[in-house]
Amino acid sequence: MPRDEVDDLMEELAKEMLVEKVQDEMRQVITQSPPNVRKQIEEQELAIEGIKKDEGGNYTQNGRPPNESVLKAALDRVDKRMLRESPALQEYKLKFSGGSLVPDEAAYRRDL
Amino acid sequence: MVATWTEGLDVIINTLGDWNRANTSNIKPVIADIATTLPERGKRIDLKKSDYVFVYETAHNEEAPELLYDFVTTRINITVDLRTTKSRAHQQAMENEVRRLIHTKRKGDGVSFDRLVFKTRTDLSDRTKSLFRMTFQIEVVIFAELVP
Repeated sequence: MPRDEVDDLMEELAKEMLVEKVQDEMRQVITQSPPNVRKQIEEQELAIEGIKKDEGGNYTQNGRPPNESVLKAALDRVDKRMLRESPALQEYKLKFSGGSLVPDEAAYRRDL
Repeated sequence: MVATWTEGLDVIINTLGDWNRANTSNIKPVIADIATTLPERGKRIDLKKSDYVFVYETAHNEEAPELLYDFVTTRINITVDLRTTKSRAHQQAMENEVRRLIHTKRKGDGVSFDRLVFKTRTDLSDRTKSLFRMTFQIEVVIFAELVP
């Protein structure tokens, strides 16, 4: 297929997005929003470890503070999942590929 | 507009229901909508007795593919969460079976959906628990549905 304007646009966009600072900001948005999805995924991952989060945002495991490495591993899994599952990816036409957030070309082309 | 088609979640559960146990060491996993398990059930599921495939919807988007807005295209993102404690090889066999089943219905059933797209995979295995776990994103696509 011959190269078109969308290819050029995607190339430019990807170049801008791959800057570390931009990636960090986008990761923050994608992993934290929408808050209800984040909460749901967090509950699922913490439940595997038997950890609960109270309304004040404190974590407990069998009534005691959880092991920090276990908690960190669970929250890392939440971030990992959010980067691939967050509905914000569709909203902002992004996809997680090769460890980075990049523009979703197919989504842009659908809108043409 | 009234939805008369099978829900995206049920499409995936029905598709995975055709699981061929011969492909996974004669073990068929429990396939369930995660919402049907009790609150905090996740920590109590007994992975020593069974393998599990949990399914849940993560996003549902309606797009208007043309200016007149007479049709909509619906994209439903489903997460398939596959868990086993048996071995990496067994988990890979389960993954292959999921892929096989999704690909058998990739072109739709002609009634409820038009495409099944096997998208991304995330490895969430935990060595400390010898838990082998993968999640997959599967997109159910319904093309150009007429808006009455």
